[in-house]
Amino acid sequence: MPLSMAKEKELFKIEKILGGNNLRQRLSAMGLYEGNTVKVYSNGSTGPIIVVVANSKIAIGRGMAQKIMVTPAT
Amino acid sequence: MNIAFTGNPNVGKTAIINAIAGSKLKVGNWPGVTVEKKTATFIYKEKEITLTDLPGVYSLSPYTLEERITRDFILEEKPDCIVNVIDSTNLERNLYLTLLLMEMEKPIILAFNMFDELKKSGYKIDIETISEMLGVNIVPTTAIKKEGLDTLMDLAIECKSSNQKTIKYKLRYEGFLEHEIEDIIKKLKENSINSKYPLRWIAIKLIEKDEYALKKLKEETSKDLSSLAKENIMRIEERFGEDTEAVLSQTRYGIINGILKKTLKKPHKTNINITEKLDKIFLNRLLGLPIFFVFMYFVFKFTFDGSAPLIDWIDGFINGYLAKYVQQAISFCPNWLQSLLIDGTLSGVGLVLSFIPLMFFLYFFLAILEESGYMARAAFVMDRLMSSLGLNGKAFIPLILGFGCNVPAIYAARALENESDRKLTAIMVPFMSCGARLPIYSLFTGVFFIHYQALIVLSLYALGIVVAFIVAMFLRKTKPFKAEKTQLLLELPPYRFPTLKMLWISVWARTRAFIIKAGTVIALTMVLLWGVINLPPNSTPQNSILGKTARVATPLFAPTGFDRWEIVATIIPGMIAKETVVGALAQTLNIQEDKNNEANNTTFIEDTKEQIVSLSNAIVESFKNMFFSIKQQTFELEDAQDNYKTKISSILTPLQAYSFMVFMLLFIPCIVTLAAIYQEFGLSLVLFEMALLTIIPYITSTLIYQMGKILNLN
Repeated sequence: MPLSMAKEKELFKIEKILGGNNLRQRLSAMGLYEGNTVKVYSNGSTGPIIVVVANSKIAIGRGMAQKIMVTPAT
Repeated sequence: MNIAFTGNPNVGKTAIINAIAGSKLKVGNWPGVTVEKKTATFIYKEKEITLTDLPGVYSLSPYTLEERITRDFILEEKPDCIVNVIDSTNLERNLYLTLLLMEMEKPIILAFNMFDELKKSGYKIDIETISEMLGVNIVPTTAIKKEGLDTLMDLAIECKSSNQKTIKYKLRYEGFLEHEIEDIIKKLKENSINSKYPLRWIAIKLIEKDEYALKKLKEETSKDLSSLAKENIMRIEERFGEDTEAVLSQTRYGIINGILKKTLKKPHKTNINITEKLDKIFLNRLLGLPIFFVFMYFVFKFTFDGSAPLIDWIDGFINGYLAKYVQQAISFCPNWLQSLLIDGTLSGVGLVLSFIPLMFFLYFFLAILEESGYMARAAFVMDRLMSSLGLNGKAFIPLILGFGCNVPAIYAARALENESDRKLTAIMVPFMSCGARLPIYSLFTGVFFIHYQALIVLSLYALGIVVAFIVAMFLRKTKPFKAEKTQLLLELPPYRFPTLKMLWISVWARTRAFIIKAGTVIALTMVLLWGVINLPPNSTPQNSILGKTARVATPLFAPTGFDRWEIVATIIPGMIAKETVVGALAQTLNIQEDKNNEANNTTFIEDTKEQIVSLSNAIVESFKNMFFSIKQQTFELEDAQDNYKTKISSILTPLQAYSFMVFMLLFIPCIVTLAAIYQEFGLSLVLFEMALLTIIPYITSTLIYQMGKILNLN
């Protein structure tokens, strides 16, 4: 499922990032690369969502979050 | 020697540079763009050092301006040493940039900054092993306590000779990938590609399909290398089942995690820190927005109400005190020369100086927002609201400041992440009705709309906002301002207390840049405009260059309704500053303002004493305004003087007066704003603005006047 639908306060593993070279390089430089685990810090029904990855909080626009495919991680 | 500092945003790089270079720091922009460039030249241990602060970046992809600047600087300018500043509390992500930098095979050392925070939170770290595994020198630093900075500089000076050899051999990627990289290097050699770039770096960029690198290589070698690594790319993608750049970034993170597993021991439990507590409030879905508005109110209030008494003092000091004694000293000169020196040059200098308190206060409060980490939250909180208008969340701050004064608002546009957003915001700012336009509204509404004064003024503010958004929407569709619908992607750094010294250095460096760069433009323009208004010598307002030009130009303004030369002639002084319009009108309408000449009887010592007293009063007043007064003084209307009323109402109708106010609202705000745009964005945007801010007010005034006539509002 896309990260935009992920539940707050839970851990998710990034499976696939849809989108071009540009987006993927920017995301992976911030720690959002395929295979890594993120924690969803806040996810309202609209607006950007916030994840915690590698010790830092990152706000991601909703549209971008729709391109990040995740699965729940335990 | 040249030392370049690079690193992720929010790692304390600025603090390190401020501590090392201090007052030597010069702020400017990278050529042709609005990305801030800080440099400093100083002597360290008998060596002349040129220090360059590269923009904060996460990676070196060619997709953002900051990343391209960093990448080009390292590859083209070949600094003698790259100091990669790293946030020790966030090694995994920070070292990613380090690996990218190391691929470029330039001399590099690492500063593990905020080292005290890492230790305080209970981590155990083996720096020597990290240094050994990466093959680069590492210095633990704590910039705010100035720890480790001497060692850092000592190593930076020797960095070229000591570790150039090691870097090439230490960093190797996963076997299969490295094999393909070597294969490409072999092919590059076979094709006798001679490049100033390292071959291994070229090979990696070919695998990553980096178009910017391909373009640069084509320019350099006049060969198209895009197909050289085709087979390698296919083999890699087949083997890993993923795109090559995903493979590369995972490989890099693999190396980093391998190193950290051996060298970094996490504490058993992490305690909830101040950042978590604050974010619960500042990022709260209900409270976030109101809190943001409260902060904005205080920034606005502190900036404008705090600086106002000081601005008044500088104005009085230059145009009252200094002008009086300069006049006495040059009284032997012919009248026109006295006027040029005092009304042209001195008041031009005074205009520049009077902006210093404003710039200083603005930079100070913006720096607090920026350095404390709140600015990123502001962007997050405002994103929902502003993105519906196609704008970045941070654009809100410059636009709000614009209501106080357009000049600091232009500089505040710096906080936005991308170039086209910055430009677009700077174009919208002049439509925000600043405090200096109020006296014009006061005068005309006082004469024509005495019972609806507040409503009419409010309608002008609203019109400015509407026009700004319409213009922005149109420009967004044109090529130079088109942004790929930029989605928010922003780190929310931990909250940190900015130190006063750090704030002081960055505030002073920026204020100084304003005085030098914008100041020269302003002073020169002032002299030029003095000529237009006052030449030929001893002319009356009617037969000066200005008066004559106004008479010729007046018919052009027929569609707008205010086609009276007395009115049209105030447009040029209005370009200097909107404050001068009312005074200029007094001249063209021949209105005698009651001047009190009592000051002339005082002595130099008395005057000097008075200046000192009024300065200390101004400082007290500034504090009072900021902390002990709730009233917002920027929006106060003053009463129109009686002697204007009869004369103005005899030449204009209310509708024509409204049309003129609209024109003044939308017209070029002042030369200082233009100078600010020049400093930040260069000449082309200034020319564009001048055209835009002439055409739009003309059209809008015409529309309003003509529509009003049809509706019989005249």
